[in-house]
Amino acid sequence: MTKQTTYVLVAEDDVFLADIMEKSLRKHGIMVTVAHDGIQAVEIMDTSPPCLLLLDLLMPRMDGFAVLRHMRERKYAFPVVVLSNLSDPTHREECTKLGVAGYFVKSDMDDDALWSIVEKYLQNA
Amino acid sequence: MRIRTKLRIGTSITAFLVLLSVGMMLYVTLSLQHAHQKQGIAEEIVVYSLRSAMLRGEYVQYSGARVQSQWISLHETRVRVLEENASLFSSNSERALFEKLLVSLEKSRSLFEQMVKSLALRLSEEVIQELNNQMSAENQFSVTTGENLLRISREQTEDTTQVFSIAVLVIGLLLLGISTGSYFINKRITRSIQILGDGTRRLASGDLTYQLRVEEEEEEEVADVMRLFNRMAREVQTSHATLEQKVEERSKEISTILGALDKVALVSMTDVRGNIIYVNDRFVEVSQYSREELIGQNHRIIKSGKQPDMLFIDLWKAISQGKIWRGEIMNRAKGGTYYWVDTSIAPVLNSRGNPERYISVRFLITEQKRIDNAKSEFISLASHQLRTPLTEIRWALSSLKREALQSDQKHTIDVAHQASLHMADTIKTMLTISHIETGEIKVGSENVHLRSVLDATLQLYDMHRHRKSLKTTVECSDTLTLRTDEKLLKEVLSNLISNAYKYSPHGGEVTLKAWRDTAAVRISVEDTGIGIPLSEQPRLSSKFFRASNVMDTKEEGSGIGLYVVYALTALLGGTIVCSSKENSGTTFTLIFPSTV
Repeated sequence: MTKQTTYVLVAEDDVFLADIMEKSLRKHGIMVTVAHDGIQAVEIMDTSPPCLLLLDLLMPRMDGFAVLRHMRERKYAFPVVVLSNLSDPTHREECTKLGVAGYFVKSDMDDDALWSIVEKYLQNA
Repeated sequence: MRIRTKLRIGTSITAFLVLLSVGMMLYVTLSLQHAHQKQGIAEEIVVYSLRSAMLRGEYVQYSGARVQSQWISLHETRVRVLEENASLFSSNSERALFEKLLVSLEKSRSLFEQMVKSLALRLSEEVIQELNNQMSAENQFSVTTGENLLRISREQTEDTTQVFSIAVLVIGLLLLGISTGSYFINKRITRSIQILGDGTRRLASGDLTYQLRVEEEEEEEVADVMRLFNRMAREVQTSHATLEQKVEERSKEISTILGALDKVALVSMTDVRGNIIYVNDRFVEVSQYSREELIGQNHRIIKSGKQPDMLFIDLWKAISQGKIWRGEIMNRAKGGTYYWVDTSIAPVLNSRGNPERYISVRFLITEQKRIDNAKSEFISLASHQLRTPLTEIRWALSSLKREALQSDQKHTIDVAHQASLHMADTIKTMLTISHIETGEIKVGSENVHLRSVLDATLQLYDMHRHRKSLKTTVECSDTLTLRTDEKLLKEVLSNLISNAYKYSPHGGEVTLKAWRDTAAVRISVEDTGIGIPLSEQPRLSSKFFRASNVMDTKEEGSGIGLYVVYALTALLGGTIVCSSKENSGTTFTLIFPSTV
């Protein structure tokens, strides 16, 4: 495992949305790396663990839950905030069990809210 | 004749006889004493008379002064004794003899005096002899009379003794008669009591048709009691028959009801430990176990193990406290398939109020559950599918807003952005309702700092507040906390605040208050809006309720917000009070009972 650098990993299969997130966070001076599916996300974090992971749940090839299970196996300590459009209590519960720090519904927020979330969890990290 | 009268008469006669005996004994004692005295006196008279004759003889020979005075003194004693006891000789024959005796004594005295004179004058031997003879005759008379008196008195004693003996015999016979009589009365009473006792035992052992036979010669009181007994027995029989008829009717009704219930419901009964005592056919059919396999087994045999333990802990807590529990349970059939049942469990309480049996009635709802799950899954999927493009729209519009745009373009973007927010809210509410209805919402419990929750929730609607220039006040102590689910409480407050803003006029006031009183924590949201017509207030908590007066306003709304408010508040264990006056404002107050 390489040394942790200060950046946020965004795992989001919606290219357009991932782009808005990346741009919005860069405006606040945050380094961002984007993964478009779970496998990419895992590869990236295994190479260089981020300070914070913004994780979508439904992604092609490997979903967010699998990423979380991978993280638990590797005992990663960086915080994960789930940004998904799933909001069933069962999904939330599953994520809580897998050690997720925050859970937000994408359609109920926008880039302003994103910044306050990232700011909050980076402080805690 | 009544027993009481008989006993009374018996007692009176006995008392009379006892008195009579006592009287007789006194009388006999007195008269015997009398007779003895008389006998003594008569004997004395005889003795005196004999002595007097001796003294006279002596006197005739020696004519001494000493003998003369002895005779006189003896004579006077004799007279005195007689006179002192004159009253003793009361009967006629006695009296006559007594009088004669006195006369004879008087005569003797005068004869003695003549003799004293004759001797002193030395009259002839013949004269003296004559006087002596006369006196001897008198003396003889008094001896005979004394003996007669003695005889009479002895006869009297004998008579008295004889009468007394007869009287004793008669009294004895009478007493014997009375005690024999009371013995028989006693025996009859004992027999009657025995008959009544036997009758009561037969009645008690269930022979309700039993009647006592009242004999012609039966004592009146006993006959009365027997007749009363027979009447009582007949009444018991009648009421028993009525009761039996009622029981039969009820049983028929109950078996009809049970028959109907058996067709549709799974019915079982267990003891206090949950061991099965009874199952109906439907239970057997659905569980796929045979009745023999179920009876005696613990109810756990059909537990699926797929539901949280908390559910069963709550269930047992409720029913062991004597309360009825109702809920949905997933059970496992013998073949391994699962089935859902809407279950009501009612404890059967004993006289001390503790449960001794549990009866459960279950309705198969597997199909409804399947439909519910399908609906829930569909809503879940649909909302996700709607949210994905909506997210792109919303985020795109949000970032566009920051670009330098012409004012009409900016307005267009604002409207589109607002619409996307509204749509996101609608989806969120729709999902919340779906979750409420499928019971999927988990209620957490944490110490919630109310001031910050109120402030944070208000902040979400700042834009609306500015748009309508509303004045908002928060009155809440900084230290006030409430143990509840913060997210759900925020959801409730959001809906209330959103409504308050929506229906307040431009420049209106909205006041949020939170405070603790003795029994509860209260949170109120007060506005100066259009109000809710009084007649429509009872329907506040129903789905899609919209007051008639809001239709005139331009405010959009689905009428779903208040439904969510009521449903979530109930989930949080609270209640809602609404007070509203048309055209002056509305206050919603949430009341959460204090647990501390």
